[in-house]
Amino acid sequence: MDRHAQLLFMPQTYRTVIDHLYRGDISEHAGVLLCGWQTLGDGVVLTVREFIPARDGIDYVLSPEGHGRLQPLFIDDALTRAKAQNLAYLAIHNHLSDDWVRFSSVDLASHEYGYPTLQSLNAGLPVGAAVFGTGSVEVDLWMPDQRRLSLKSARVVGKAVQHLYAGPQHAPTAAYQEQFDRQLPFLRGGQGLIHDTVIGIVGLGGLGSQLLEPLVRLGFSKFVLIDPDHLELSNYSRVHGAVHDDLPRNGQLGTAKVEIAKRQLLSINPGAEVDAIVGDVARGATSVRLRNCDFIFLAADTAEARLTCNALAQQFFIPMVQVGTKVHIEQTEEEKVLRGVFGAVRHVRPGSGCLWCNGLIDRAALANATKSQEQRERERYGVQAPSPAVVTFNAEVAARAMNEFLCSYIAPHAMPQHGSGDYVLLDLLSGEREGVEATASLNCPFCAASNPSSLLGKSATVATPVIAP
Amino acid sequence: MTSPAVEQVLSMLRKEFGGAEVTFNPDTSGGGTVVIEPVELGPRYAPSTSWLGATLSSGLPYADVYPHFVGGNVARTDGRPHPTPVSGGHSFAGRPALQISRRSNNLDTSPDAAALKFTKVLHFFKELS
Repeated sequence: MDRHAQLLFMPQTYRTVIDHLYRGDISEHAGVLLCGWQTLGDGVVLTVREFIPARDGIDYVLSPEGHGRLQPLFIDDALTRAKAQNLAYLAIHNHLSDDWVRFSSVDLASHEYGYPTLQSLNAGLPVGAAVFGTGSVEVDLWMPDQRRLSLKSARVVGKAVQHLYAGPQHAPTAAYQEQFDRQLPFLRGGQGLIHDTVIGIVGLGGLGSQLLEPLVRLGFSKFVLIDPDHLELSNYSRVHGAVHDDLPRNGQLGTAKVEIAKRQLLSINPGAEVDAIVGDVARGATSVRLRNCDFIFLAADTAEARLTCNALAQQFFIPMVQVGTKVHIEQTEEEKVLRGVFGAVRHVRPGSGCLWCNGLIDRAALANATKSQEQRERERYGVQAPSPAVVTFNAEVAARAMNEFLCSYIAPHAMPQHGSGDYVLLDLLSGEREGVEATASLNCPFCAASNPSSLLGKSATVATPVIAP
Repeated sequence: MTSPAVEQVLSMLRKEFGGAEVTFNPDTSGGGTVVIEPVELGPRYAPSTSWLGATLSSGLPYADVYPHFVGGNVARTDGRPHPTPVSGGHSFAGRPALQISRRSNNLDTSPDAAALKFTKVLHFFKELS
């Protein structure tokens, strides 16, 4: 079995599973996970959309030898629900272990006896099993293409991301490198995770370009970069890594921003893997390239980029931060008055921090996104001018976003005991910071677990919204 | 090809405005422009009937239907200029038009909501004093 399966949970689902499996007794308990799924290269990512607990003695019965079995009616009901929603079926139970767990020989024999039949009943969808320890998970996943996969890693995707493995030996490791020596005491073993993590950055302008150098110097080496724009003279003051030769000249476009970013990354780490895409994340199939990212920084300022990236975070359980800076200048009758300079670092997680629920995706701007420039000019209503921007304010917001990411994803031991809210709002003139709890709508089409048609955890066969095909 | 969400809104509009002709001109991205004709504007306007139009974006159901348009020759019978948020001098679908700029702040993504917005905007315009 190859270790190519990933299992992703929302925190509330994981807590429910663990509370069901570990009740303070010394017994095994069971249930079924229904999961969205997508294949990525050799790997499969399962997003747990629903947990169906099995009732002891009714749905989950012990044999005279003491081996637990899910009952046929319970299995049939769960399979029917899985098929109806195009979800993978994963039967789960627990062992009385902590950070190391594996299937027993009896478990494996029962899989080999039963799963070929379940596969035929659930044609085209993965079926399998997971066994839990209190701090570990193992998976035996039977794919429609006859591959059989075990767990690479599991994640509980809350504001702090918890990483779980079948055992400590399966956690990513990195050989000692002197260049990272000073950060190792802070990371407490997180350097291996840094090496394995794929970072997506959407928007490589004044804010997104500031993320590159610190991330690659930390040791991140796998990047997906997306931006449709080319360097212009008016953004030369803010795009990190841009040099004079990148500017437009003789009627030619400037260098694509993602190419500037790629060049900068490779100048620091020539071995970095960089997928640089000159394109709009919200159009066509561009967003598919982000699906194999472990974390996304959304630094683009368009409503359509927010729409698609927010949807990706909710559908594929990809943790994300959305970052932005606003220099607020008000035009009075006499003069322009500086009202403040603000920054935002917004954590988006499956089921929480949704940009749609919090009114952060401008629907009128979405309506404009597919209109021609000429039509937009004709329909312009009120005064619109280019947003002011200053490189130093972008730097502060980028630094805050990276520190929040580092603590929440790589070094959760460094997270403050009392959370600072889903969104961090920065007053960049006074230096004050405010944490805000995001709201959530029960019928949100993106993040609501209570809405059966929401995108939350859905399989890749459900299209992620884009603004234009 | 017209997107399913846009098709649903068109279907709702044809029900909502049963006595009028609903003409859709598709663009290349899955959306297009729709014109409903005739619509009744009431006694505050001359002429008292006109057309109502808007762009149905391929970004539906998430995109707003914004702005809406009526005929550019529509004037107030009290002789006063059109107040905000109505502005003149626009064109829509090749016709001179008044633009009615009414954003939606709700998060309802159902096709009913997008179709209902035409009725609500028309009501707003009729009642505008």
